[in-house]
Amino acid sequence: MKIKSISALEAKKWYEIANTFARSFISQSEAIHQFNQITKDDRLKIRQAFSEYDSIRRKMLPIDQAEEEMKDAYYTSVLVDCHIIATEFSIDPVVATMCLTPPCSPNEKVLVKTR
Amino acid sequence: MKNLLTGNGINCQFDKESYTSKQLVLRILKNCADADFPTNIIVDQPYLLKNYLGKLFLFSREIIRGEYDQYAFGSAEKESLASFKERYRSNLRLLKMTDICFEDYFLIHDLVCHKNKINNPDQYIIREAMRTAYLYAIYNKGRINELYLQYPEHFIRYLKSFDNIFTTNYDLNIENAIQNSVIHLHGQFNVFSDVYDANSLRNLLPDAPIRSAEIDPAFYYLYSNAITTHSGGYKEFIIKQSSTANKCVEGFASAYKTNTGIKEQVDSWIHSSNTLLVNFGYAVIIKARNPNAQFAERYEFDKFKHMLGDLDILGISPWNDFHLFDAINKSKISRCTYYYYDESNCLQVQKLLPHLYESGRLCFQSARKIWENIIDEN
Repeated sequence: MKIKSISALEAKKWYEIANTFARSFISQSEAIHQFNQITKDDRLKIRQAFSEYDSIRRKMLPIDQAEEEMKDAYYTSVLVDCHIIATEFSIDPVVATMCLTPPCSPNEKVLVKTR
Repeated sequence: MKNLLTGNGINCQFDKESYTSKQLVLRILKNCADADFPTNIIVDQPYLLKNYLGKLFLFSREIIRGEYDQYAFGSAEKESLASFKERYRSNLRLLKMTDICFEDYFLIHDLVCHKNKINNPDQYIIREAMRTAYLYAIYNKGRINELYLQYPEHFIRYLKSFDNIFTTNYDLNIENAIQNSVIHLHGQFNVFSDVYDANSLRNLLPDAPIRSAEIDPAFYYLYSNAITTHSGGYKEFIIKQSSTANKCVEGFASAYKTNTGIKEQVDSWIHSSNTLLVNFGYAVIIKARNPNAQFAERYEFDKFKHMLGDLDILGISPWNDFHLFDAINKSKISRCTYYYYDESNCLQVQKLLPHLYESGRLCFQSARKIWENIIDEN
């Protein structure tokens, strides 16, 4: 796989946004290390799985609730989907979420620049 | 006499993809998106269940850290909580929803309810939704009852060699394989629970639950007497509930027929504002008139407690169902062989069966070897 260098700030943003949903306890460096082990095919399958769950979620979540309740239901639903996908691919939930909007192509590994 | 106690380990042996604890939790979560999810039975909006389990997972991490210790009420809950923390503490950082056994989610639910002062009926209704979702996942659209078709002949001969087979499984694989009865200590899919049994004393009472129940025959197993909860103590309570109630009602019914004072007292109960007292009054009166009326007793736990001879334990985890180990430890069996999959379980079994261990009646054999032999023989 090719290497894509990203800044420390980019890496932090990528991890933290993903973890808003996944609520994982693993560190950013652990998560990126795990991400880099995932094959291109699996990354695409993970994105596809999230997309399918998202379609189901749009049909299942009611739209007549208050905004705060809707937001909470949405985030919790995504959290559960993270765990489902993480189990199926034997990865951490935050790593599953990081596959959604990675700062690299599916066939690239990420290297965080130290300076 | 030769006795066998089996559990889910046997099912996992014949289907390594579908019945592990992880797979069951995964299936429960994924079932919530199924088009044919029984919304008429479990919950009308499956996302509620899915999201609730997600929330429980988040609370589980606080529980493991000890933040809910003061919300465990009673010895059974405290024991379950201690075991829960011990089992998951070392893996807290990497814990996923599917790493937690589904029966442990009942404990998390109860603790969260205690903390947030959520009582019955809400606590009960949610627990029932969780329970039926679990049974739905285990039943796996009927596939669970087909596992026996894979049983090798040698394994069937092994099963037939026992005088009594006890199981914690709800499926009928063993009886289908050996064409003989098996004692289901925690209930079975094809037996209705007491509240759905038209012949039970429960449904002869004025508020008979069966009158308002709409049983969907396609999902008969969701109305079964299958027991599932986090605590062996609670399971034993449920197991004994009917027989305890029957003894109590029988005693009162006998007195009702012979003692005027008791009769007047019981007759007054049916006019009470307390539903439990009304029901008890009616149960006594009905029993006095019809001695055959009783709450259905289906678990045959007494037979398990009083077994004699040798006992083999195959496919049972020593990390839950402590009531079974307690009964074995107090029994008069001559010898117990525990078949372990993971050698580290042996120490736990020794702790659970101290009388047997100290008297030299407990031994261990590798389950892997027994399965290898069974497969090799065929």
